[in-house]
Amino acid sequence: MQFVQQIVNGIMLGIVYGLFAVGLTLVYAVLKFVNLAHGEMVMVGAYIGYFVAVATNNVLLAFLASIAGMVFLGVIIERCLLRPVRLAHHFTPLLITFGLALIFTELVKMYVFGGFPVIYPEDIRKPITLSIGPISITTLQITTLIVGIFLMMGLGFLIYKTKLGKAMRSVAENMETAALLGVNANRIARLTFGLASALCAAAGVFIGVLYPYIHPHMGAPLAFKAFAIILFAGAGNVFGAICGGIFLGLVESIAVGFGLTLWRDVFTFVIIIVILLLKPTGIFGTPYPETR
Amino acid sequence: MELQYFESVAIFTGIYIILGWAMYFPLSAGQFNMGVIGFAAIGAYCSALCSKAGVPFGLSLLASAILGGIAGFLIGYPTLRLRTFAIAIVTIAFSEIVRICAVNLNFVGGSRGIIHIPFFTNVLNVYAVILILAFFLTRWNNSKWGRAAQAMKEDEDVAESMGINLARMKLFVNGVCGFMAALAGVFFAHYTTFIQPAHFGFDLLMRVCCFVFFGGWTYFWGVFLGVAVLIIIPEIVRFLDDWRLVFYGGVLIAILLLRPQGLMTKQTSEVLRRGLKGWLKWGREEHLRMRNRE
Repeated sequence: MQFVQQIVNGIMLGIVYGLFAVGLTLVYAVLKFVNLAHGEMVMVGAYIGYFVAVATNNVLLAFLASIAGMVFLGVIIERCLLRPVRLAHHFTPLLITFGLALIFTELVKMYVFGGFPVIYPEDIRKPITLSIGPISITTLQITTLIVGIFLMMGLGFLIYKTKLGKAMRSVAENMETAALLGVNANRIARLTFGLASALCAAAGVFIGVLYPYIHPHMGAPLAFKAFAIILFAGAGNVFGAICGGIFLGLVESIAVGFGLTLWRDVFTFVIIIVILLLKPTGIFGTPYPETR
Repeated sequence: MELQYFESVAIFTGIYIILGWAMYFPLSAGQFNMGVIGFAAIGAYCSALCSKAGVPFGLSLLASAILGGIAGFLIGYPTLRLRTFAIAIVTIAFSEIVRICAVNLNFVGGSRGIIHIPFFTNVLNVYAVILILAFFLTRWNNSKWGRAAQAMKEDEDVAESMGINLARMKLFVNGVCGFMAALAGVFFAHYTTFIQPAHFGFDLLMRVCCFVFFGGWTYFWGVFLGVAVLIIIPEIVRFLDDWRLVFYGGVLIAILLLRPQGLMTKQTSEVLRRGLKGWLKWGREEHLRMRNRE
């Protein structure tokens, strides 16, 4: 029964992983670079959520404020730092976001509680544990599950059913052709980055609520997991990122269940390296586009 | 006291130059290997264990560098068929694996690391190694293989159609990358006499990236320049101390936005050299004119 409990925990973790891996894969698909500051954006989102949660004691407000703040930040980053280098060498945006990641971490470490971990306020977490047979699950986990699935379905609807999503997919296919055909590529790029930032913020608040510690260095390990997920599932594939997230959550929880807590990250990385050795495009991956 | 301070700055500059060249070398063939930190950690731990067991420094240096080279060669295999961003991520993941292993394995001291490593590094042996590497890099740039690497950087498909064995080149450059980075790790371990897994984290990777891309990633003297400038600026401007990493991040972003090829490229160095030569020639002529007038 311990095993079933670990599977339930793994799915919860997987939903959170899936949420920010989707943002990363979306940015890769449309803008053709990997955002190395993704984990740090989750961290900043979690901090914004924390401040609003402390001030208003309302988790919904914290969630929305965090999303709004991160969308604002994301749009500014896209406009000022990423648009100017869109035509540059392909590791330029990669390194710019790497620099950004370090600046975020250092600034938060220096100015926000001196870098000490903080915990989301107790009142808004109030875990009510429900027991279904031998499995225990908190209402918070159920809420996260529902909101996470809802967000992913909304994203799927946006990408595959609306005109905007069609524009995004066309830009992902080929930015120049899409621009020739009348798609405002700059607007789509801005929108994609904003959307990814919003997903970061959502994941950050979920992490803050479910695993209550947040600290300046939480970003890098999370970002690694997201990289692992998108590489393993095939970069640029939204469905693959969700499946990959849940798979990774399950692997980690089961590793913890077997008492291998310290080694679980090694597991993750070894799994990616083996999969890339066998199938370089990832499990759901299609062959790489010609550029990059 | 004063002398010791200059010596430490010189040695750290040397270590970062070797690390920077380790990152530059695969870049010169279009491979973005960010695993230098992992290789440096392998070199540092291996040589620390060897030296504590009483192996002479030269031997432990060579053994660790070769071990690093083997690690680089092996990490070359999963990255053979990947594109730039995936190579970057797989190599970062490799460094993380090394770091987590160092934290969790007890015979290398866990997260407390290894202390009381014998003190062997001095300015002389660091810069001797740098001289050898510089000689190697100059020869490499003018060799058949170096030109093949350059062709690969420009366009892999064209290079392959010209009969360049891409897989062999990639494995080779990654192996040399591991070799050089492990050398830097060895010098680091025997200078600070104390290593722990936290030394080989993201800050170090960030610094190396910043040095390489600030100086110029297309030419190895550019890397040299980048390290020299960016180590010396925070040493002079002391109030940057807390802000050092933010400063490095900002410099990296600024240089990539303003001059993505870095401060120095091969062309810049040509212009400078011609300029210097012209300036000296002009000076000689003026001197002659003045002497004739007398």
